[in-house]
Amino acid sequence: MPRERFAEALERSAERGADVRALHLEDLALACGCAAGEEAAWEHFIREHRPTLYRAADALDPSGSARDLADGIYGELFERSLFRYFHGRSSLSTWLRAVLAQRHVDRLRATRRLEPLPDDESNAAVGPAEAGRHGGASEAERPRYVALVRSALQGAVANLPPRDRLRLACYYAQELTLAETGRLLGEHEATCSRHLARTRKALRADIERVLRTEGRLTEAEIAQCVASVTEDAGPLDLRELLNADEPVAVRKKSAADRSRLRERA
Amino acid sequence: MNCLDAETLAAWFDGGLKGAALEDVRAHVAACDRCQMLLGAMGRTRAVVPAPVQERAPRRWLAWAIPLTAAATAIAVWVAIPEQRNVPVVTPATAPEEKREAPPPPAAPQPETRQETTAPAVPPPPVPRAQRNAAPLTTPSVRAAAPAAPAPTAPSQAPPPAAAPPPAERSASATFRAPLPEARVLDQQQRAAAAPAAPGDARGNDAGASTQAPLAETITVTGETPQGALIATLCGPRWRSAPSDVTGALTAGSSPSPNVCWVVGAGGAVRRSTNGQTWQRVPFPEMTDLSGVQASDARSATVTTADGRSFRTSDGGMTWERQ
Repeated sequence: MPRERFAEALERSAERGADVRALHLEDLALACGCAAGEEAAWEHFIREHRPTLYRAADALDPSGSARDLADGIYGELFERSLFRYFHGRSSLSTWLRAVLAQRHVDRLRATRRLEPLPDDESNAAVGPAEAGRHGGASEAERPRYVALVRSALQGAVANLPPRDRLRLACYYAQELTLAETGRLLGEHEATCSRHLARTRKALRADIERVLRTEGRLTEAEIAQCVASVTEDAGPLDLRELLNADEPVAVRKKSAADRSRLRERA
Repeated sequence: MNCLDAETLAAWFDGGLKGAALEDVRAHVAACDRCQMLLGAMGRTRAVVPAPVQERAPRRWLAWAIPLTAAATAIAVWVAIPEQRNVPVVTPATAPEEKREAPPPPAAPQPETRQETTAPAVPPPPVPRAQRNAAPLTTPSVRAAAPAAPAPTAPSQAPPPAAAPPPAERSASATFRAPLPEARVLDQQQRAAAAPAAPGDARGNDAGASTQAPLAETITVTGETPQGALIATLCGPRWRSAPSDVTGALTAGSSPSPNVCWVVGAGGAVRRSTNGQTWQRVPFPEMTDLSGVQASDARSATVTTADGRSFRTSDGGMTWERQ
């Protein structure tokens, strides 16, 4: 590999504000070699990193629909055009996962814009047999309770410091592990867990305060309201509540999110 | 700030972002749905790469902490149990040795007990278990400032304590604690056979093999004995009964008061009576012949060895100091 090409790559990394001492130099050299068309470098990349790309695609979408994204990325890599965006601030495998995740998310968001929102009326179409299941709240009261809790939760989340909101989003909405969440936030996972517990308590207190003052609910009604929503979060979507900039869409949460809310509330 | 590009996102995951750039990224992602979704997508692909192995710093302090702890424990035990650290351990090897030397059944067993303080090279005679168990056991503490000199060994009489091996070596200026002797009981025939051999016997001459008797064992006076006349000569006409456990020659005596008498003899035998009736065996640090004794009371006495050295005790024989 020509030294000039590697020196140029280092300069580009430095321009990005990278600490040269912390660069993944071996991966950067490999990327430079691949971009230079070196056969040995390319063979090494295919042997070590190409499987990572396709395994990541399968992990993102087990149905296999993300494989075309992986194919596209591999094609760009083969044409050497994509390697110049790698600056060595991460490992090559992490960078490949990030490229794939970026394209997957962008395609997912583009697809969602075209999907109709779920029918809110479907939540109200509950038979008489369902009455009384939601924490003792009647079906007539339940939509009101859900709306109250949703409004209170949205306000409480919006009042959180950005760091707490990011921690909630990483752990609850994006389902990262405590270790991953802590690493992104620069704190130990035990510290992260304590912060999450404290944030949950703050949210609960804030929600009860709003229900008491703005919803004018008694203590018994608050307990019934919280129990109702805890048992079945219904259309509450924490992922969207955590993004104040985004328009809030009422969407049925996934079963995993509901179960997490039930456990943590 | 714009949404994260793939390179920045990867750098964030791998810890490649620092300072203001990192804070900007965190602040942006906290309010950006798309970037949060990127985090979720990255999380879902975590299984495709092996988890980073966190290298643990070598615990160098263990290299010295473990031996230091062991040494501290050993010192603590040594300090905490001073009475046991010089007590010889009875090893299984000594017991069979006694059995090998078992004498024939005594023709005329006597109630006397005999304690033989010998070097390990000479196997001691056996001890009847009943008599051995009946004897009291003490662990004396004897200090001596002189090295043990070679001297003939004479058995000293004492009720048999529990069996104990020979003592350890002592240096010339060492202060030591007398270990327990092995208790031996011989019948009259054995004692008769042992007595002539005592003066020239090399047993116990080794300075490193001196064996001491327990302190202040009460010895039963058996009445008039052949040595009674000798006692009367040494200590005065009032003293007619000799210590029953002394089979060797008694060489000197001193009676500073009517009820107190010290007698010494061959093989480091020192006996004392404080009531005029019974004798107590006083441990002496060396297995050497004693030639004289000058007592001032029941606790203080000066003993002279056959080679001219003097030892003094002021605590009834608990400790000895060379003069």
